[in-house]
Amino acid sequence: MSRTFCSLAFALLVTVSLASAGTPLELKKGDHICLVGNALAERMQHHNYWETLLHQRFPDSELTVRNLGFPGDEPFERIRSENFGDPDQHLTHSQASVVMYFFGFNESFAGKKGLRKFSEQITRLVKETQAKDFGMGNPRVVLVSPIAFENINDPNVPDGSQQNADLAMYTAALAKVADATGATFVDVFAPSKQLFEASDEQLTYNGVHLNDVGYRKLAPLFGEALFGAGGPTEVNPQLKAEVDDKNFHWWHRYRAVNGYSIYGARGKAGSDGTYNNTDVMERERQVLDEMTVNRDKRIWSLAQGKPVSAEVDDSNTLTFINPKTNVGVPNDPNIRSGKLGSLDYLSAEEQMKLFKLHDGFAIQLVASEEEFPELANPVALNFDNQGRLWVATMQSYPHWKPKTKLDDKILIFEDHNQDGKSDECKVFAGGLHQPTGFELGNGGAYVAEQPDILFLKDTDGDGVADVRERVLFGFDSADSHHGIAAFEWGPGGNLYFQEGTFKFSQVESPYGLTRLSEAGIWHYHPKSHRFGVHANFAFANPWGHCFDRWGQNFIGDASPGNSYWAAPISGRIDHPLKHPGGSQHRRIAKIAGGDAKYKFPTFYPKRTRPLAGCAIVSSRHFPPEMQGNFLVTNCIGNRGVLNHQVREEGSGFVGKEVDPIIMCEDGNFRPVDLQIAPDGSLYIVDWHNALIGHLQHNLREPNRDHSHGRIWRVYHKTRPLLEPVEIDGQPIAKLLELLKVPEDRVRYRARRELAARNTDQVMKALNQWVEELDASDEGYEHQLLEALWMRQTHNVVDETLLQQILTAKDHRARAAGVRVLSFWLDRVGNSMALLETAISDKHPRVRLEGVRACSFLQGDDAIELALGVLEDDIDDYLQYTLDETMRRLEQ
Amino acid sequence: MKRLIVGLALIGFFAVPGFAQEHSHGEQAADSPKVSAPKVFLDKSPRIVAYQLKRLDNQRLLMVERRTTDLKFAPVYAAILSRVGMSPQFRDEAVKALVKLQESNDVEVLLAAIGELDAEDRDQARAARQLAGMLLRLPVKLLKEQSESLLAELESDEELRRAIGAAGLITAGEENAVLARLDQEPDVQRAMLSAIALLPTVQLRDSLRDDVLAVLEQSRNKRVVRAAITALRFIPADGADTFRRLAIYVSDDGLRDAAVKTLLTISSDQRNPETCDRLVNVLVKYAEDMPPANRTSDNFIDAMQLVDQLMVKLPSGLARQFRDRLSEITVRVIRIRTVEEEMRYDVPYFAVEAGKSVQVILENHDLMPHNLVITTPDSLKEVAMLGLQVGPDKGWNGLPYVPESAKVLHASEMVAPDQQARLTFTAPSQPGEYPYVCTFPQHWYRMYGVMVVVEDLDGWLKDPVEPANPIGSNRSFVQAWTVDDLKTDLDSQLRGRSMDIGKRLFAEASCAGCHKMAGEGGVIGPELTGILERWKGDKVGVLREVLEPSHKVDAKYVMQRILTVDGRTVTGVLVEENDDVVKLLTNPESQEPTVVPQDDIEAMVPSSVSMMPKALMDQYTKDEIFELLAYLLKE
Repeated sequence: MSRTFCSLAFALLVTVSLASAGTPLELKKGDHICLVGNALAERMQHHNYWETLLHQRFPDSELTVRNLGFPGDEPFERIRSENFGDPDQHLTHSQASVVMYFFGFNESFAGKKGLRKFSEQITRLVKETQAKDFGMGNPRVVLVSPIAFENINDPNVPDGSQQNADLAMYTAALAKVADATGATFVDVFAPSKQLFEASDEQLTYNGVHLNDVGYRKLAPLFGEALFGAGGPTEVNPQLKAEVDDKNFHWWHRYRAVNGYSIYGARGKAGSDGTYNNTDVMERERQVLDEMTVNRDKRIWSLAQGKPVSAEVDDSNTLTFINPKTNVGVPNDPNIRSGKLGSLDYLSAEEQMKLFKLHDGFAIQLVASEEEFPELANPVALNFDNQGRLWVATMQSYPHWKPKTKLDDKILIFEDHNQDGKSDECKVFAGGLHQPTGFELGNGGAYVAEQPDILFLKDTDGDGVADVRERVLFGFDSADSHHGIAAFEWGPGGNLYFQEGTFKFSQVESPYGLTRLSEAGIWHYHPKSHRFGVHANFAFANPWGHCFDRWGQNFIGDASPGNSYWAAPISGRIDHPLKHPGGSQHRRIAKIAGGDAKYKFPTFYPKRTRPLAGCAIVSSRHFPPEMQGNFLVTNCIGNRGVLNHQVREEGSGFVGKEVDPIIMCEDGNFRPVDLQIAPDGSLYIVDWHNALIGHLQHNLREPNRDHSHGRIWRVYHKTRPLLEPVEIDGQPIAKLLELLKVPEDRVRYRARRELAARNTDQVMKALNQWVEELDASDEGYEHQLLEALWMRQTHNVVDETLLQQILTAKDHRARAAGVRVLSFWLDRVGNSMALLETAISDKHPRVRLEGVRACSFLQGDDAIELALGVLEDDIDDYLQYTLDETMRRLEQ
Repeated sequence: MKRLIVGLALIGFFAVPGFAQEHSHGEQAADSPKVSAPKVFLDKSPRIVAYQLKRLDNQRLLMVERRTTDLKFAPVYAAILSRVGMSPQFRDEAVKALVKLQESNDVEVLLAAIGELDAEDRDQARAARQLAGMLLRLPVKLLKEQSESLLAELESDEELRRAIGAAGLITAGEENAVLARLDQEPDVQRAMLSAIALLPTVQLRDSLRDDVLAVLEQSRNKRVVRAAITALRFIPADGADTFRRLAIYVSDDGLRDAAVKTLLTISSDQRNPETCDRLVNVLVKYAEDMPPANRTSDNFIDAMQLVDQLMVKLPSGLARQFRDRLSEITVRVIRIRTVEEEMRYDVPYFAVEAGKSVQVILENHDLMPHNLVITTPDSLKEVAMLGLQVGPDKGWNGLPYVPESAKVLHASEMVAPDQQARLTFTAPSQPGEYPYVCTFPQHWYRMYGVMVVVEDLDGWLKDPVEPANPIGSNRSFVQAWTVDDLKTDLDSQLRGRSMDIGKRLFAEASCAGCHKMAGEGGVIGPELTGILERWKGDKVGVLREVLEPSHKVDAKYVMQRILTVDGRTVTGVLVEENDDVVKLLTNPESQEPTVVPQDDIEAMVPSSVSMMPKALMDQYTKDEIFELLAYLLKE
C-alpha cells in the first residue's frame, strides 16, 4: 500500500514539473516507446519519418518503438476479434516505459456534448496507465493531440471549419488533462493546421488522414513539439529503410492476419495430432518478434554511425514448427465428405475433358499456371475498361511465412489475337499479402490487403503500379479467408465490399467512425469519402454480391451457401446491433439483438453449399431464356457453376434452380469467381487446389497448394460473341450512349469510366444526353435512371430527375429512385413527402424501399412515415423491413 | 448513503451473476427515467395501432395515453388487458374502460381478451387463466345474463376456452347447460373436467364430484379419464373414496402419473391401510422395473414421494422391508418446493434415518432465487448471519451467502427461478432437529424448516413429533387470508382496537423492517404513516395492499432488474440515476447502493411483482389482522 503511494507521489512530482514547465519529454536510454490510439498513430508505421528522426535525434538512447495503434480506437472502446489480448497484455509484451496516446479525432465528432466524457475517460486512462508497470517501472504517459482537418478544396468533402473548432476543443481538453495528471502533452493540432494552410501540396488524401508527404512534413514538427527545437529535420534514407523493415515485421506480428486461427477459437483447429494452429503460428509470431529486435539493433547501429551488414542476420531466431499433413489419414473426414480433391493434379488439358456443359455451351482454357506460373491461387477477376482480364492471386494463402518474400499479386492478362486465350501476363502489382478481392476504378485498383484497402495506380503507363496508398484501414485481420472481398460498384458510384464473421472493424472517415462486428457489407463513395455499413448482418463470409439492371442487389454467403435479396437487410442499424437471420446470428444474438432462431429467407432454396461468387446473366451472347439468371460458383458440394431462374414475387424475388452451366469431375476444380466478359462469354476463376477449407487443415499444412490456378471461359457454341465495346478513353458523350446497352457489365464499365471523368464535363454532357433521350423508347425510364445514378456517382443531387424517376411507370425504376433518395435524405428538400408517396406506392417493392429509407431518419415523424406501410397488405420481406426500421428508430 | 436499519424480512434482492432467467413477469407502470413515453398513432388504421402496441413492452404500454372518453383508446386498454405479466390493477382498469368504451359488459370484454391469447404458449396460457379468474369472480348475476356468450365459448376450437366457458356456466348456476351434454360429447366432458381447477370456490368444485365420477367410470377415452383423475385433485370432498377409486390407476402406464399426483393430495387420515399396502407393492415393483436412467424424472420422484408417505400406514416391519428394497435401487428423496411469492418452503419438516443416504431436491417455483442450507441444531440464525457477511461472491465453495463453518452441514447452490438443485448426503448419525434455511439476505425469517434425524424412521413416521420452531416462533398457519374473508363489516371490526397491540404486531409481522410508521421502521418500502389519507379513505384498498402486495406497486418501490452488457443481472430498488450511473439498493443489508455505470447497462426492466412477500398474515388470526390494520389506519 505505502509503496504504491510513494511511487504515485513520485510520478506526480516528476511529471507535474515537466508539464507545467512545458518541458519536452525526457527520454532515457533503452526506453520502450509504445504508440497507442487511432489511425494517426497506426499509420505512422507505414510512413516512418517521425520514428527515423527520433533515432537520429537520440542515437545513443537505443530506443525501442512499437506501434500498437488501431484505427478507431478510443480510450475505452477498442473492439477486437476474439482473444486478441487487452491493451495491457500488449503493452506488457512490449515492456512499455513510455506510452504515447493518440486520441481525440474520432471522439471529436460528438462535439461539445461528448467533451466531458472524453476528458473523464482520458483522465482515467492516464491515471490507470501511470499506476501500471509493464516491465520497466511506471510508464511515462504522453498525450498527442489530433491533427487539424485539412481543407482540400473539394466540394464533395467538408472544408473542415466546423471540425477544426471541435478538434481545437478536444486538443485543449487533452492539454488540461495533461496538466492535471502530470502527463506530457504534445500539440500537433496547431502545427498541422499551419502546415496545411501554408502548403501548396495536399497533405491528406481526404481531409483527415495524412498522405505520405503529410507524414513527412509533420514529422519534424511533431519532434519539435515533443522534444523542443533543435532536432534533425532531414530524414536519413538508409536509416528509414531499416525502420521500414523493422516495422514491416512488427506489423505482421501485431496485426497478423488469421488472428482467429492463431489465438482465437480456431487456434485449436488444424491439429496434426501434435501441433495445432496456435502452436505453429504463435511460433511464427515469436520469430517475427525476434526479427523485429534484430532490426532494432541495426537501427541503433546506423543511427550511431556504425556500419551494418548488407543482409540482416536472422540466424539467431527460433525454428519454425512444421506440422505434418492430415490429408489421407485413416477415415479422412475431408475425403468422406467429398471436400478433398486429388493430390495428383491433372494438366489443364486433362481437366478440360472432365467438364460437363449446359446444352449448347463449350469451355476453353484462358490461362493456367502451366504457361503463366504467376497464376498461383487466383481468387478474383475483373475486366478493365480496355477489356483486359485482371486477376488477384494469393500464392501465400493462407498466410505469408516470415523469412520468405511477400509477393501475392494482381495480374493483367492480354489476349492479343482475340482468340480467348491469354497471350501475355503482366504483374500489375506484387509484394501484396492476401489480396482477397479488388476492383478497378478512378484510374487504378482498390485492393484488399487486410487490415487495409490499398489504392494502386500506374501513373506512367507501363502497366505496373507505381503509386500504392492505404486509403481505407481499420478492417479486422482476424481471418484471411473472411477478408474483404466481393468488391462491386453500385450503380450510384458506391464501392461495396464485404467481410466475414469473427471480425471486429473500426473504420475512420472525415464524417466519423464506423464500427462493425461479425460480418457485413461496407459502402464507400470515393468522391465524397463517405463510408458506412450497407448490410449489417451476421453472414459467415459473403463472397458474392451483384446488382441487377434496376439496381436491386443480391448477396451470396459462402459457407452456408445462402443467397439473399439485399434490400430488407440493408436498412440502417448500428453496431453492436445487427439485422437478425444470418447464419451466424444465433451465436451473437445476445449482443446483436433480434430473434436468435430466426432465419432470414434465401431467395431460392439452397441445395448445396457453399457459394464463392455470383453473377447475373446479362449478355446477348447467352440465349434469351437465360437472361437474368443468377449464377453461383460452388467449389465443395458440387464443382460447378449453378444456375437459377429468378422472377419477381411480392416485394421481392424468387429463384428456381435449373440445369447448371458447367460441372467438373476433377475434384480440384474450385470455381471461386466469375464474370461476364466484354465479349459476352463467361469467365471463371479456378482456385485449383486439392484442399479446400480454411479450418479443415493446419494453416501450414504441407499439402496446401501454392502453384496451381486456372481461368476458364464458357461460351455458346452457335450464338455469336459480342463485339467488345471501346470504353477506355472514349468521349463522354459516347460513354453516355453506352448506358443504353443491354449488357449490365458494359454499362458497369462505362459508368466506372465516367465516374473517373471531370464532374462538370460529365454533368454538362449528361444534361444534353437526357434532353435528347427518346421518351417513346421502351428503355426510356431505365435511361433516366442511369442518368440519376450518374448524378449520384458524381455526388450531384438532382431533385427534378429524382422526382421523374419516383413517378415512373415501371415500379423497378421507382424502387431504384427510392434507393437513391435514401442516400440524399438530408439534401432533398421534400424528402419526407417523397417517402410518404413511396410508402403508399402500388408496388410492394417501392413500399419496401421507402420503409428501408426511413431507417436513415430519426424521430416520431419517421416512425409515422414507416408505419404507413401497414395501410396495405405486407409480405414477409416488408414485415421484416418494417420491424428492423422500427428497431432502428427506437434504438 | 445512510446505513439502512432493516429489522425484519422482506425481499429478494440479488446481485448474483447468472440469474438472468428471472420470470418474465412483465413490467410495472414506473416512471423509470430511462424510458420516455412512446408515441402511438391511435388515429391511424387498426393494423398500425395494433402493430405499434405490440412492439411496446408492458412498462411503455402503460405510458401510452389512455382515456375512457374516446373509442380510439380501446386498443390500448385491450392490449393492457391481455398482456402477459400485467398487474391486476391495470387489468381491472382496462376491463372497466372497455366496458364503457365499447358499451359492452365485463364478460364479453374478458372473453374477448382471453380469445386474443394463444393457449399453446405457456406464458399466454397463464395470462388466460388469470383472466378466467377475473371472469369467474364476477357477480353471478352478470355471468348468468351472459350465458349465451359462455355457451358460445363451449364451441371454441381451443380446449382452454371451452374449459373457461364451462367454468363460467357452472359458476353462473347454468351447469345444466354443460352437464346435459356430458353423455355424448368428449369435448364437453373434457371442458367440464378442466373447468374444475378454475372454479373459484371449493363448494362449487365439490358439488360436481358425482359428475366427475360418472365420467370417470363410464368413459373409455384415456384422455377423458386422465382429465377426470386430474379434476379430482381439486375436489377435496370424500378424499377416502377418491383414494380407493384412484388406486387402480397406478397400475396403468398411461394414467399412473396423473393418479399419483392426485393421490399425493389426499391427506394421510383418508388413506385406507389396505389400499396403501396394495399401492406400496405396486409402486415398489414399479421402481424396481424402472431403468436406472429414468429414475430421476419428475414423475418417478412423485411416485417415490407417494410410496414414502404410504409406508407410514404399513406395519413397521413390513415398511422396513419395502424401504430396504427401495434403498437397493434408489436413494430416498425429499422434495421441497418454494412457494411462489410467499417466501417459504412447502415442507416445514421431514424425517430421515440417522446415517442413511438421502437426497433433497429443492425446486424453486418462486420468482426470486433461493437456496437450502442444512445446519447443525440450533444454528439457523448464526449461519444466516454469517452467510450475510460472506455475501454473494465469497461463500464456501463459491456458493453465494453460504459461510464456511462447521455449523453448515450441506448447502445447495442459489437456485434461479424455475430451476432445481439436488443435495445428496448421508444423514447425521446423531439424532436431533437439524434446521434448513434459505441464506439469501433476510429470507431466514420466514424460509426455513427442520430435518428431523431419527434412529427408527418408520417408528417415527408412525407417530411423528412436530419439531420445535427453529427460530423460536410459536406461530403456526391459520388461514390463507383473502380480501373477501375480511372486507365485510370492516368498519365495525376495526372499532375498539388497541394501538399498542397493533404496534407490537407491526414489528412482529416484520412490517417495521421495511416500512416507517410514526417515525419508526425501515425505508425499503413506502412510509405508512397517514396511509388512509393517501388512499382517500379506502380501507379495503389498504387491506388489499397488506394481503396482495403485487396488486399495485408504488412506482418508487418497484424492483428494477438491470441486465448488464456482460450478462450479469442486478436487482434492487432504484436509489438514484443520472447520465453516468444507476444506483440500486440490492439488498436490505447493503450499506452502500450498488453502482452500475450507464454504459454497462443493456436494459433496465421493472418487475411487476412486489418485493413484499404475500401471505405475511397467514400465521395471524382475524382479530390480529384487524389490530394491525387499525394501527395502520389510525388518524
